[in-house]
Amino acid sequence: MKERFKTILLAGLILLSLYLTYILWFGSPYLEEGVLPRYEFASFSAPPPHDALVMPAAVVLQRDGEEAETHLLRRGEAEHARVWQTAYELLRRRLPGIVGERPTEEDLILLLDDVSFELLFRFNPPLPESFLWDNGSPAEVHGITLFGSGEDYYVLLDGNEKVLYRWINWGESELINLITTIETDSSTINDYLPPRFVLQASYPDDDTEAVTTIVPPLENIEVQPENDLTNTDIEDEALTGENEATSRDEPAQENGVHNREEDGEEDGEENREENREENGEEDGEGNEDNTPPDEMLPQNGEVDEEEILPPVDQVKNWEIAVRGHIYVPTAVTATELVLTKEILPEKELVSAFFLDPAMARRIEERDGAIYFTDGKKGLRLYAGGTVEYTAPGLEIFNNRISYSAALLEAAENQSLYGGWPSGVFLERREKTAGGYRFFWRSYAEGFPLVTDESSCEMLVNDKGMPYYRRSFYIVTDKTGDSQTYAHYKEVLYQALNLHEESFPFLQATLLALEPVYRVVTVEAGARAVPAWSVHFAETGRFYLHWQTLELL
Amino acid sequence: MDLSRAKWVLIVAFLGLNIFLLYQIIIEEGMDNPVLFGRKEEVSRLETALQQANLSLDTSLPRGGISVAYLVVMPWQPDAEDVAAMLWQGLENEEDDNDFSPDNLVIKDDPENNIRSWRFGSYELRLCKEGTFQLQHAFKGLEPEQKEEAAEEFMKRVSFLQDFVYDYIIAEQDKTVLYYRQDYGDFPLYAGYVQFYSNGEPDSKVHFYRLEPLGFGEQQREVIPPSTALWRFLEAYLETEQDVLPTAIVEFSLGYYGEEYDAERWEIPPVWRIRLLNGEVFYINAFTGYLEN
Repeated sequence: MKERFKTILLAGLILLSLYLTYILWFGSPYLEEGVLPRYEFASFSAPPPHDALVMPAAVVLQRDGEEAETHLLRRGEAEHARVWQTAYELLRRRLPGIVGERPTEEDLILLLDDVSFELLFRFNPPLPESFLWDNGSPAEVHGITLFGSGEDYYVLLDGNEKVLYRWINWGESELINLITTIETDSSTINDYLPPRFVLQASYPDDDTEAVTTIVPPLENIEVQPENDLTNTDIEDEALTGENEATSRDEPAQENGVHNREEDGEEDGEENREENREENGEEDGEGNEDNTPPDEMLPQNGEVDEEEILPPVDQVKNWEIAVRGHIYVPTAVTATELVLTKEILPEKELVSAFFLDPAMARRIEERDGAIYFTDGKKGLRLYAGGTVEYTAPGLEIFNNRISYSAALLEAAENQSLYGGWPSGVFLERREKTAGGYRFFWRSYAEGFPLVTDESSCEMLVNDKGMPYYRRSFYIVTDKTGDSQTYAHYKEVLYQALNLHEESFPFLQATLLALEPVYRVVTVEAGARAVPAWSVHFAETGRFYLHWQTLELL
Repeated sequence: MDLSRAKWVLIVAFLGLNIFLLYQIIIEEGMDNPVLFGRKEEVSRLETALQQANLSLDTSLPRGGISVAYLVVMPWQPDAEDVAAMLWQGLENEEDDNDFSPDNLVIKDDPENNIRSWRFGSYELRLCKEGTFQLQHAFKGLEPEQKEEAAEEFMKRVSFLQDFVYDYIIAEQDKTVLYYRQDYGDFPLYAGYVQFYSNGEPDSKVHFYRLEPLGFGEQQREVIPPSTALWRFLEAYLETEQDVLPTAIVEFSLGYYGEEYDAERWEIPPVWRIRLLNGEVFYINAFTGYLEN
């Protein structure tokens, strides 16, 4: 027994000596070795395809046989998405390998003079050219026009420079099929505002209507007759480049606000005709008292202020200069929407933002927000559902990432950090020294849900994503039946009168006019009220109720 | 040869060998060198880096391998008038003939700087937005040595400071700062503190900040090793210091630290505190390795 014990003890000592020798030779086990963390893939939804990353702000269609009708499809409408997707696939398939020409403005005007149809995709923000074909080009495309001229079909890419592609024996039938199958109706008909026009009001003798109506009735708004603003005027302006007008403005001369006859479908057109007859003399006198419309017109793009200024205490003739391309619908309907804020699951969000969620410490703030931080980056989840993320360590001042790369990274980030709700579109991008700042907005039924801040903002640069804020609304219900928006001429007149002090010379520069949903927060929750968004250079942007035209 | 005897000889020989080997290992692992944990090359690199940063290590590094969780705290939100009354008792001042009463308090607001102050006797108690208190004009007319004793007495007498412990002192030519810190469980809570400032003036300032610990979080994880924390510290130290004058690391300890927040409740991370001889203190997050202050 004793011998056996000694044998075991000796064996133990031999083994221990071997182990200690090993430790001494190779070092002790590394006590400070960390445990490798386990990571899980966290993503809310897959990134959308390239064609859905930058959707056209507007798709404008003019077809042969629909004289003087401009159709406009807006972001958020099913037909808009279908048309763009079809056109995108067509262009992706056909454009590579075709040599483009750099046409002169004169050549373009000649070509566009004889268009049989025109399908314009206007981009704001621009589309990276590399999305159309993989040429690695950093160029940006602001507009794509597919049009037929004479016997031929063309694609015009309007970007850093204009490039024209002739459609030679490829995909003609697909193109024609696309143009003919675009579904349009009265709600898609839009007026294109000419670069300059006069909005004129004449008051009836009997002012009972004026007293009882907030907005002067439509019949009292007279606009410049068609022959007052000639094609020559427009073309001259186009050539001088004053208002970025191109021959694309031509339809506007036919159906723009100055064309009273084209407005015959409007409510009250008959009354207007009657008033015109009844008040013919008075109108004539009024014109004598004021500057006659013909004399008020800009000649060859030049404006003589002394000539166009009417006495302020008399009939107001507003001279409006339009900057950029503004299309306004003439018969659009909507209804109030009930909204709720998107609430993302906290645990998944924290997992998405922090590789190891255990590293993020939780801070419950006094305003109900919850803040997570690991000391380098912070994620704040507001009580209302807004998500805000900051990583100051990733800020730089010499960003080199390209627009397309930034866009793709932004798309990946959006998928990872909350996903892509339906009806969300890239609305704006800013290029700064610190990177590209992207702004998304929610849309409902083709109209943006306008809040004081954009729905989502993201800064992307070479180092990553230093800033992200997300606050989407989700439409949960509608209230009542759809009704028609007030006509845009009434809107313009009301807008000008409401800010009369901003226009001492009765001249205004219109930057934007569009129907939107204005998000207002009431006790019962958030609602989207249909509204007209009006933006004058003199006043900034403001919103008018879609029917009462009161300021929102 | 007797086999049994041979076994004895071998047992004794191997026992001696094992003792020798064990001794060698202990020597290697740091009985003589406070840094020596881990691999030799790592130790060598750390020593070189410390030399380059003009730093010497005058303390032992604690062992790593500890698993801890965040500490959940909420702000200490007492009635400021009660705080003033308790401080009055703790000050043992020469104005004790004036009884303290809320009527004696003069309240002054400084909304621009988010400071509210109460004056009682010749003292002024300030409350900042994040919950830090500042007591002005304490320990008037005392010599520096007497002020240290007075501070010690003050800590004993003021009831809400009795769970604070002495931390360290920084004494310079005309400035002395005496630090006390809060404790929770077995860990120092560096985020809670009392600081006595004497700047050669006849009176002293006392800054204090107290937290209400609610307990540790559920999820425990292993803290980063001290050597890793030392590397992170060296990176931060060389980044922040323009001219690195020779100094020494005099303390390397694990505790909890977070900056003051104006919030309902929050989690405080474990940190490796690295204190230098020149008075500088660095807090390295013991989970992430990031510099916390």
